[in-house]
Amino acid sequence: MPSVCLYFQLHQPQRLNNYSALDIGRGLSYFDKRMNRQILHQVADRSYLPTNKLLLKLIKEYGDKFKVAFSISGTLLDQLESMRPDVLRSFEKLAETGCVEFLAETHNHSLAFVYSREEFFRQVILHKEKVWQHFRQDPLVFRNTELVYNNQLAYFIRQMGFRGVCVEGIPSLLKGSSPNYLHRPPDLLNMSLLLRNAELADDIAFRFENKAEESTLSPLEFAAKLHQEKGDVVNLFMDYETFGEHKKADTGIFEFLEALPKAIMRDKSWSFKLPTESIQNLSAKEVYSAQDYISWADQARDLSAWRDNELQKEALQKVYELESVVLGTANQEMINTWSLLQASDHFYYMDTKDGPDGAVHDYFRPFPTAYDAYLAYMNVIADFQLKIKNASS
Amino acid sequence: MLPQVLMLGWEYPPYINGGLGVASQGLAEALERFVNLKVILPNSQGIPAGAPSILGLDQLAGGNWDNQPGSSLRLPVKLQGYANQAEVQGLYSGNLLKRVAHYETLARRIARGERFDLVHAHDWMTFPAAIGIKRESKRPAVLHVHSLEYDRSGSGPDAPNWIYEIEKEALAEADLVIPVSEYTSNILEEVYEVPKAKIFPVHNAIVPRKAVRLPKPFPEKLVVFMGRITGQKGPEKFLNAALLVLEHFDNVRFMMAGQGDQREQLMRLAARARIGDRFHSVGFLSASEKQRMLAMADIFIMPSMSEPFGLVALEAAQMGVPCVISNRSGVQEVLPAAISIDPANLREMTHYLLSLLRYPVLGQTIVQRQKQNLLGLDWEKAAMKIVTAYRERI
Repeated sequence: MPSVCLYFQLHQPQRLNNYSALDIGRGLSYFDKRMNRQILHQVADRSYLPTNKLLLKLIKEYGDKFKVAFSISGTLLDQLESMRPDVLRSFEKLAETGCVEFLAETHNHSLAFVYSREEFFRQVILHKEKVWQHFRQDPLVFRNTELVYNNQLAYFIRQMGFRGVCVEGIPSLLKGSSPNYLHRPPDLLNMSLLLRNAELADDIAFRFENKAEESTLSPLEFAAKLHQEKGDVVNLFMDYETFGEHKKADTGIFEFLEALPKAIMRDKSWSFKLPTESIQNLSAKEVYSAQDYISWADQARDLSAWRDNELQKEALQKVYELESVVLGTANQEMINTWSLLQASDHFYYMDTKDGPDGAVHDYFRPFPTAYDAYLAYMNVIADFQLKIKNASS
Repeated sequence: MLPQVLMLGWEYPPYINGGLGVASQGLAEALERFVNLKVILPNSQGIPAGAPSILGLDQLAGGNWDNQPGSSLRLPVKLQGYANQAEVQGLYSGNLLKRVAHYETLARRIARGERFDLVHAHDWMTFPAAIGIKRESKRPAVLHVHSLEYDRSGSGPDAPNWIYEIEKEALAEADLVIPVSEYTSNILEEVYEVPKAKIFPVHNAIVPRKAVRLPKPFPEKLVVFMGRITGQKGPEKFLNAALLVLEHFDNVRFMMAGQGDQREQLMRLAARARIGDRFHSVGFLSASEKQRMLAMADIFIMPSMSEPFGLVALEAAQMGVPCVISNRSGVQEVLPAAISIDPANLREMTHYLLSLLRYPVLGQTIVQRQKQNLLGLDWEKAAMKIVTAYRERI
């Protein structure tokens, strides 16, 4: 009985002001409140609310046959709570159906695991608490920022009580095996890896529109391709903003989503499963080993989207160097600011790759250039360092 | 059979005042491989013999223009934007209009004894000669635009001066116009009303050379400005930015290389602000001094108000210096890795200078990416484009 596991990622960072070198020491606001508010409203109205409404309708229509999972970063949950409580309520409503699972991640969509296990631990616990507070769920499955993963991460979060992780299915690591089977990390039992089926997920997230042929993917066409897949569970992981924001309503993406469950379940052997159901009902036979970091970002599917050039490396080093002094202040506002500065997005904007990867970075970057993204960040860090110094003296 | 090209030049190393001389040489040497080239210059003394074949007017009987009887024409306006120094061998000194007219007379006389398929002239000083030769020989004239009076003095249809008139008239008669950038291409279209069909931009290039870094004789960081000290180049923006940077960052020196009408005034302003020990006006530099300064520089800045190309930025990039370049320039079209600034925005300029000073990693990243930009630039490619334009456009 093959199944489909739909999981959607939601995150909006606190984008920075174009903080000038002339303003270091003046303690101006680090975050561009206006832009962040404007983008939050836009994406809430174009994507989150209409898609939630549609999913609720589908769940009512199909009973417990249609299910989805979400991971919502703490940074976004906090923004929704203060600016769009209506959106948060609509997620809570989805949670009440029992057909929606919420996954755990780092509270601030950070790369903390790569730099500091203590900070990673702190952020995951914080996020678990937020998920419990809003949705009354205690996640068993973890997904790290942009599916950043290696074997060490599996060992670490197993210690934290998780039983499953969402991971990118990379052909060179699969070594001929299919991502549609549950895998496990080397030397670890009771830990399952849900591998993203990149081909099928990206058919929706990136290749929904065929500009050359002026056509869009049809639900039947997609389902036909899906039904060819061998295995236990096809993991379709993608950004939730795919629906209505990256792909606007006029592309027909909502109609696609609406017709998808029916098209998939036309073949009676197919069903939808939540991540937790998959890891409880299926057994992980094959080993999937990632010695080095992998992710779902850029063509390289590694850390290079955030840690490729020297600008990114320095910025990352500078923010994590502050760990002990910031935590040492025990000042909640400072710790919060520091956490927000860890968001992987800031480093993503500093990327200087050319080609198709560069184009995607450009699309998300709220600055004219990678240099400007780096400078704003470093100037904020410089001001923040002074602030910490003043607070601790 | 290779096309025969009669080239009319003004500046040519060692007689250079700026990018015009460097570009004229780079182009002539590369073009030599594709066409039969003869170059007419005001002076040829000291130019090494060899390709391309060069004819100096100073070598002609009666060619020494300083001995010419005084022209009745006087300069109607004060000449802006040109330095006035011995190194240029009087190219722009004395009665310039008289020299331009004299160049025209002699060049036309030479042309009568030459066989050529087209005449190719560099900037307004040689444009009258090119048009004169075109009329007499019925051969097409190609005008290469390295800089315009509009860039140098803001002159245009609303504020015409005599150089603008010379340019405008010659461009109207030209068969093909080759600006050094898209930026200049737009000015030709919008200000000089040259039809787009006649314009064929070809970017300047640079002779490949390894980056050299030299230790500084002082511990401070070094920010360098290089160009004529005149309004067009924005040296006062450089001084203002220096003043603001020094309020926030102590470990830095500013050096302003070049000569021009604003130099003394800027030195007085720097002295009044008491930053004379950090803001140094170093005057006109020889080619080797220029290389040495770039080899020590930590940042190169070009805050020009209007810069048709800005070849010196390529030289800086080649020496491994991160560049901060006016968005009103041609060079930023081929050096996208450099930081682009609005020269009118002092705050922005200061922000970038301060940031580069504080975060060396940014400069390192820019230098690396600039190197990538430079890979695609060489004079041979530029010359091939020009030959294509000869063939397809005339």
